Amino acid sequence: MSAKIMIETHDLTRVYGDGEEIRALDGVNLVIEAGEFMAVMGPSGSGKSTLLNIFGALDLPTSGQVWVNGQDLANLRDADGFRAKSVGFMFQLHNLLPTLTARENVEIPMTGYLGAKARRQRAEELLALVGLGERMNHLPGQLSGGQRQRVAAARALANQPPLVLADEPTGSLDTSAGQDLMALLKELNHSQGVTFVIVTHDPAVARQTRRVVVMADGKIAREDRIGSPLEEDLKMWRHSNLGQQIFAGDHTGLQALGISDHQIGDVKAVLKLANGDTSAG
Amino acid sequence: MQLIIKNLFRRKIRTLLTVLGICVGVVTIIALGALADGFEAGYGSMLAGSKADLILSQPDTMDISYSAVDETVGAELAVLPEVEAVSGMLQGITQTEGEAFFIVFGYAEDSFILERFRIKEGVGLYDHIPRELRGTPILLGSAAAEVMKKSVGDTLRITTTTYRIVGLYETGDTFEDSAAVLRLEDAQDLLGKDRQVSLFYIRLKEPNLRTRLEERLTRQWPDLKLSGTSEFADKQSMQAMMKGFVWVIGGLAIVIGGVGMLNAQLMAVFERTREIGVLRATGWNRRRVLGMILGESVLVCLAGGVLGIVTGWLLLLLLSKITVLAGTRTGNIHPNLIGQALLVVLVLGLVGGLYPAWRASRLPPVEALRYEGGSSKARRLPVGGMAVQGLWQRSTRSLLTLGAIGLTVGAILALEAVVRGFSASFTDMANLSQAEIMIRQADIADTTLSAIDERVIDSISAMPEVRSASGAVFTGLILPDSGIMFLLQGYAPNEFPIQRFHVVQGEMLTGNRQILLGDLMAEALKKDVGDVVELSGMRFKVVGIYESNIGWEQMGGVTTLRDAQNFVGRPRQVSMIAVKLKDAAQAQAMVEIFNTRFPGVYAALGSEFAEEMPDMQSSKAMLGGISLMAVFAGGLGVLNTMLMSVFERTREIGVLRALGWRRSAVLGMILREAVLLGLLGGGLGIGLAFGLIKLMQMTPMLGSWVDPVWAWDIFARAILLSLFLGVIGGLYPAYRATRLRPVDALRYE
Repeated sequence: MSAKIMIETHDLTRVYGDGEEIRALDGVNLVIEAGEFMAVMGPSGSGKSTLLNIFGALDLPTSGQVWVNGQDLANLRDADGFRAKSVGFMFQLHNLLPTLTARENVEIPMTGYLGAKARRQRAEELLALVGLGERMNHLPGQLSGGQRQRVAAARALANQPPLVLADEPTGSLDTSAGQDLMALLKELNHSQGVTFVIVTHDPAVARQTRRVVVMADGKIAREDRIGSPLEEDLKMWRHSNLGQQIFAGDHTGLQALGISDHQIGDVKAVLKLANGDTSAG
Repeated sequence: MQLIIKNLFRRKIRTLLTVLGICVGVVTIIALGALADGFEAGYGSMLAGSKADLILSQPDTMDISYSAVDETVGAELAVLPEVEAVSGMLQGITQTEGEAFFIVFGYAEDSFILERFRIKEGVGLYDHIPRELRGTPILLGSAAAEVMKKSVGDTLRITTTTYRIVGLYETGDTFEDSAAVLRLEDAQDLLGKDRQVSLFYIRLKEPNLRTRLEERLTRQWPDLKLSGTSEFADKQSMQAMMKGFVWVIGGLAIVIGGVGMLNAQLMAVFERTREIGVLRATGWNRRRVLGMILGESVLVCLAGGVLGIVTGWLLLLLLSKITVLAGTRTGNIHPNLIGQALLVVLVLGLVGGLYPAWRASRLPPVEALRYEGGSSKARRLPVGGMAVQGLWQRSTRSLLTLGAIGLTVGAILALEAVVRGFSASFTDMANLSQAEIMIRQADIADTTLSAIDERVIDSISAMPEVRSASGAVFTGLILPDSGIMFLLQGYAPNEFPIQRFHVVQGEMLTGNRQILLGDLMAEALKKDVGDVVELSGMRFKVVGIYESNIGWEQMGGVTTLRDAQNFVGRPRQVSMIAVKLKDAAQAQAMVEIFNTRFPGVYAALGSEFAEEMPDMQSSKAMLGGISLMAVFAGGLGVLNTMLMSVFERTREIGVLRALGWRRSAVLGMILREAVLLGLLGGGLGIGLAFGLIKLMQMTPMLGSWVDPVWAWDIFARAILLSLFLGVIGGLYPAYRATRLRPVDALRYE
């Protein structure tokens, strides 16, 4: 039984500017299945945010096609309704309205779609779900950075969208708060069955997802399936300068670390294993 | 300097709105100022151009048009040894085809002043007049002829009389050239001032004879006043009143514009906090930052000032094409007036820029560099939804906007209540005297100028439906020491209208040269029953003191009809007629009969008379003009602040849109805020209006003139106006907010 497809693109291209053209996206072909928990990585200007904006119907492609949740976004009639019902957004700087309490912020996407009482109830449920049941009436300014992003996560789930698009959600958090947030998102992915597409430039964050798409110059440069943490560490090794040296048969780096010749053999074996696992998928 | 200009251009719309706001204020100052100056300069050059040395007139009148001196004085003056020549002059304000205020002069044939009127076309008034120019002759000023599109041979209708234009003249003085000249007797007929002139121009044989003549005249005519031509020009109190009015209205407009400016500059400082941090970090000291922000506000204000001067000039140019109203000439925008306007905007720029500049200079560089937009300090009210919280969050801005709306609405509301009060007092007057019908002269600009022949009263009294008809004279004068306006009324002592005066001390009038004083006036003058008061040279014995429910009546007095007629120089003329019918039910029918039977008079039901009074009409026109100006200035202020509010929240709006809010929802949010601001501003305006009126009432002399009427519809209109201001101010910003593309909005820094 093949999984339901959440996002599918064909030759997705987005060009900016009239004089000097910038190809933010250049023929991207991508399929994301429902329930995935994936990351889009790449340096600044690689097109990852543009991709996210198009998935969220905030921006339109110049050419190519994109379907999200079965809808052709190029021919979307009600982009606002689509954003309200089919996608949840998380931003790097949480973007909570400073004058509204946590609960009121979570209610925003439901305004105009649900009655006041239903909004309130749902917001309270969601805040409890993200562990902020006790801080519902706090203003964003009275919450820590991690807590604010939890509110943002609750807000993203307000209208029970099948898809959450998160743009650098951990960008403004310290390492431990970032890890907590990722754990929460993973938990939400698991318990609510929501598809998560997370844009990040932090490999440590990307490694906590199950699939990583690396972008460069508007194209998909590489795609990885993520295994266990040990496998991921090994893979890092494999791609590091030292790893490359070892595979090229150059042992000077290892010798410089004081590793004896017979130990080098063991290292190679482990690396091969890691490599082999990756290729096995 | 370059940085200042760049900064202003960076926020074009805001700068433009601020400039426009200031511009409205300056236009008001320039246009009204030119009007007042034109009046003053007109009198100045008219009196100087007369080549007379001295002027003999009735003292303490509001304007030359109100002065009255017996014609026979002229002949006696002419034979005095110090006097070389004498010329009487009659001046009056009338209404003519399409002109609400039209000045008419009357000169006798032997007047040396007539030399001034150079005939450009046609013939002089006293020349041999050709057959084809038959009719009552009139000379029309060249400027008036141009505006009214008249030439020699045409007719000109003034009130009920039709004149034949026999010539066009030019004196070089726009004031005189915007008027007309009649033969003295014709002017006396027109103005109802039989055998009266406004003043005498006197030419001395030797300039040093003045003191001698003065002594002689004081003895011979103690009730008249002799003055030099230039001192006489300076003493016209109407001009002082007009000038005061200009500065009050202009000041209001400037303050409203200034609130917008303060707002814009504060916003500019907030949004550039980080930039200011960078400037400080790169070594700019506080003074330089202060200078930059101050420079910006001064430059914006000056730009508004220059634009206002140009617009004011254009406005006057336009007005001068359509009306002869004295002073609507671009030539009246003197360097002095321009200097004053520029000084005002300069001060405004410095004062309005000071607080934002001070705030900018106080920013610690480190903190400024770390600044991340307005989201850092959230404040929250315990109650209220998004609109309330949004306004509370930007409290300074909201307060300034409220100020702009409040000032606009408050000023209009207070003015309207006062005008209504004035109107109501006239209705009270008719009601209290139990007159069903009131009559005045048709086609006049002010009730104090109304003149109806007494014979009309006789004809009305003789009608079988009429129980009685009684005339009254209304006039005002300025008390010389205090500058207070004294409202003088004249009634026949034994007829019904005077009975409404409730005498609390002394007794009723029994004869001439007696006066009843209003209680407040008696207090102000420190006069008691038995004392003597001197008004414009006439002495009256105080026989009684009355109380009145009508505010301004308390600040006046009542004499016999005869005395009042002599006082205004209109023997046998009255300002108004009160009519009592045998059957009140016939009132409406009788109004129509009066209006058809007596040409030149205007009759109305007592209850409607006030509304239709020319004074009320001109007050209303003035009110309309001020309201329009205030609404324009206030609207710009609100627009400016709401627009800033949208700019500032660009990112927030982007978030809302990204979260699925429709354009209509965003529109609704901004408009809700605007409406809320409008309502709050309306409330503030009502409060301000009450305060303003209280303040006016507390002003010793002015107080009793202010007797406001607070009707529910005034409040309703105030609230509607505030809502209108809020919505108009909020509509464009809200529209802009909905046009924002979410992606761009999210990226906005």
